[in-house]
Amino acid sequence: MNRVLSNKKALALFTLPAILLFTVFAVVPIIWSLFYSFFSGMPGVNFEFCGLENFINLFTDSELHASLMLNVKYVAVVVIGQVFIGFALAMLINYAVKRGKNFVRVCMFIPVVLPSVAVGQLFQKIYAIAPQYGLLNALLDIVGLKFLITAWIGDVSTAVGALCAMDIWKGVGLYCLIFYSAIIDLPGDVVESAKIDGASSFRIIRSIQMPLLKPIFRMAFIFSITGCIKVYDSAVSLTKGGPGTTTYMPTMYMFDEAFTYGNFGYGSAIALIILVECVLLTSIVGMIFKERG
Amino acid sequence: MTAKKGKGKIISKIIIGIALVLSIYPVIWLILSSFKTTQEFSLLPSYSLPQGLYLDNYISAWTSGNMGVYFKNSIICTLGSLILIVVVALPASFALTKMKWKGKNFFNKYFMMGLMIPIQVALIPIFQIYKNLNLLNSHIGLILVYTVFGLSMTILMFTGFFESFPNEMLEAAVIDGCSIYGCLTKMVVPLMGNSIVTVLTLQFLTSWNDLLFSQTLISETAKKTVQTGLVMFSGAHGQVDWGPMFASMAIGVLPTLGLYLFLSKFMIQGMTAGAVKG
Amino acid sequence: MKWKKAVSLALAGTMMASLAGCGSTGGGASDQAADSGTQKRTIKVMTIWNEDVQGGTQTLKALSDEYCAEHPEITVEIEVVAQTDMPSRLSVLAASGELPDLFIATDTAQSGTFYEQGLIYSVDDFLEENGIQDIISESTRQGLINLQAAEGDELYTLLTEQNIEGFWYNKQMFEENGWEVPETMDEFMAICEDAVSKGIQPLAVDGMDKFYFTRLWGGYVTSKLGVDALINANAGEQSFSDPTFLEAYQWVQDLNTNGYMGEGVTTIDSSTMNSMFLTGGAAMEYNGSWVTSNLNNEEENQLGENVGFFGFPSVDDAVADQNDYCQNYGTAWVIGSNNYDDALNDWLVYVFSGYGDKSMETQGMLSGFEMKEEHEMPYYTQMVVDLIAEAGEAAVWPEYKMETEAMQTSLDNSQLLILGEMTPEDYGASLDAFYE
Repeated sequence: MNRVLSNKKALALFTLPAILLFTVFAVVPIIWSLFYSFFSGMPGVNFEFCGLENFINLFTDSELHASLMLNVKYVAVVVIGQVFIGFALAMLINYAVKRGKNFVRVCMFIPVVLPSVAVGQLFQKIYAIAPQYGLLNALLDIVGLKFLITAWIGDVSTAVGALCAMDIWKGVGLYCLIFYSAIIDLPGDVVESAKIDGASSFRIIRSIQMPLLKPIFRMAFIFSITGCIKVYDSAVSLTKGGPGTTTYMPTMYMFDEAFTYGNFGYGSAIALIILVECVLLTSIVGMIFKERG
Repeated sequence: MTAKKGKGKIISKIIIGIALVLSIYPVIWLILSSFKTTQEFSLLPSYSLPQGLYLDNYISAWTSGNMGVYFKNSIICTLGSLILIVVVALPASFALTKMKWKGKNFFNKYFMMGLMIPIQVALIPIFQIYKNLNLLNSHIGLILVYTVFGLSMTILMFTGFFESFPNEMLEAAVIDGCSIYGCLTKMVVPLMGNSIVTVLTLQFLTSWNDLLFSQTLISETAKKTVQTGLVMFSGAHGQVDWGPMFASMAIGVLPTLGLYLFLSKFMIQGMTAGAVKG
Repeated sequence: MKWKKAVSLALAGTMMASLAGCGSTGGGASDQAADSGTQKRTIKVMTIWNEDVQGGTQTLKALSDEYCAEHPEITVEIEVVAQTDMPSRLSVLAASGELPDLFIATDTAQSGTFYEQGLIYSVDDFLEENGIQDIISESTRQGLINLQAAEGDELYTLLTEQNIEGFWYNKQMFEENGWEVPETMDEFMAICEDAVSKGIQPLAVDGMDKFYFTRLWGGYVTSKLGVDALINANAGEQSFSDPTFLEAYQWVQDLNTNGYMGEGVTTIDSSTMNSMFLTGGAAMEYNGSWVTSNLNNEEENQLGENVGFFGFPSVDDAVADQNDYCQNYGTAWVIGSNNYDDALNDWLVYVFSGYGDKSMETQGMLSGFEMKEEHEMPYYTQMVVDLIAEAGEAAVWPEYKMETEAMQTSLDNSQLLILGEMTPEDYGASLDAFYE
């Protein structure tokens, strides 16, 4: 058994291509750009070694701190929304839908398919208030909830919520599909025998399927967390960070510093902060979902 | 007992129904709106149906040619990266979950790095590497970068799915004299059909919808992909009316949607095949 | 153990290969040209307007096609990049010495840096070497230099437009409601108040792009203190918390809190603003004369020739005249110096010598380049030409020389200011912070 599973030749054949490709085209550029964080200015234009200056600035930069705080809130809301709603829907589809499962699944996935820039533009129109009401305000208007009509993405109090709602909408289908595929890939006989033993659906979910799905949960959380920390496209296309800096995410700040303000090194330093944030949060997830024994 | 169960099912169905409406209605609204005239936009509420098929929006949005070429390029790059990523990521993920070796833990984390760094920051080094390897303006270049930056996600998902693959089944097969290659190709791949298709769908989407890399690494018009082509015709100045605006959004969305719906037919076939074997 | 070794070897290998390659930058295009006998040359152009919309690309392409028809050895590649992506694209290219031969510089600070590092070819040199200084008038040249980010009085940007800014109003609506064109701020505010009471939206404003808010307070400051006020403030010689500045911020905030800008102003983009105004949905809009392309377009403009223009109404004790308009020259063309050679030079001479006329001929647009022929101009273009002829001193906008980060702060915070989320005092302080 062990001999087969630790076959050196097979191991090399299986892993080397991935490791090589990944190292050359992903890891090297990443390390290379992090190395840039010891410089000021733009590479190839006015690049100068500046030691730890960029890192020291990280600690006193209130704009960065504000956008990190914003991001934490955003991550909390969107991750929980995406993963749990996705899981719940997958379970419901698996149990309640007999015919048309595939239809439901395909439809749920449609928002995931769309380019995020197009989704941003679409939601701008959904949230619009002027020159004419967008979809949301128009619907609020006919159901008599006029007092709720507002400039959803133009108002400081609602802009972050509007962004979260859009990203949950766009992401849920993916998690639904991930959980759904995993559920039907689960060995059927375990569930069958539990059913024969008279276990209720809820019990089957809780004590048989949930534990088996643990790695999927871990994966879903890691995937959603890293995606949310790095949110860029959707925020740029929906609100451009506005109103003011209400929805200004760390990646947008990184991008502006690196490319617009001409401080590539400082941008790289912010990228490092984002990396650290991802590592921290994903290790917490890893610890929570650590397999017992 | 059965009555209670029936009630639960009905409630579940209602919830799914609501979720369905929520997820597709905005897209349907987008497509319907793209057929509206300017007058309809200003006179009627935005949820109303279009009065007729007003195709001028599409004509005014679809002004630049070359879309055929862009589609061809997108298809080549996307399919190329799909094939490459399966060949590369599937065995690697198998080794990272089911095989026994020292570097397993390290490399699991190593591959995750791609998920955690905002890729925008790596653009300058990637551009320089590509310039030196003569990969700028080439399909291979895009295929490589799509594969590599999809690798983290793909491996994470594959390993997630493989972990829930029961070890006992694998052990039984090995005891029956199955080789490591056989385990992978004859057991894991067929049984994990759904999960594999899911991962591939995602990879397909990220490659197809990519704008950042294609815009940075491709400057020749003949090598551009659909998403960059769309930027070229929606232009720096926004459209004046909602109609053409919606039409250009629809042009951005519909091909992706169509392709997805087309591919999902195969996905479903793959799934039912998997279920039968399971 | 073996793994780590292999990986680190591979890593080191690629690092070295790529670093070594890094040294030899900027070969590319010119090498190929030298190799082939026919002196083939590909000229790379990067722009933000696609060919189908109005803008510099149309003019450039028309002239370039004419040139290429007679010079088959020249190929011109025009790449369109979204305006927001332009600075990052240029950064990436500059880092590898691959800047295009001619490109649109959307970020003045960035092109200033490029110029200081010798990546941009001097326009003065280009004009002088070819003896074509007459394509840009001296006053335009001076105006352009004033707006450049880099120190010194050498021109390195080429204009695409010539614009004045002010209020455009619906003549018919003004007549029907008995409003006179306002000359003072009090008259202006009275019109706004009257309009709101009659259920008319006084002002259409693009609040999504933020800069319209700051143009408004900038106009107020200029009117009251004169055209030097913003120039001094940008040079750090005048506080952004000066009482008049605070008054101006308060005024813009009031425009919104009084409802003069309509609902959800921060979600309105420029095309929505224009279509609101041009379909009679608002009495006025503040805009630059670049809006003439929309005004001249019969499909968009349902008001016909019923649109008038007035300069910023005079605030109490005004120093500036109402015709001291804020002026600008559009986003600039910039010449890359990496691959500057005779072939490029000849092409540039052809293109820019004909630019003024071609722009007017094909699009009815004022490019700011001198024109050699008389042209029949569309109604609104003629109107702008007449206004420019009688314009007073040229005023600047609040961020015209700010470093990019300060500019971004001014713009971002302007949204918070008009939403009442930020006080005028805090707004002024946020700008002063960059001049400490």
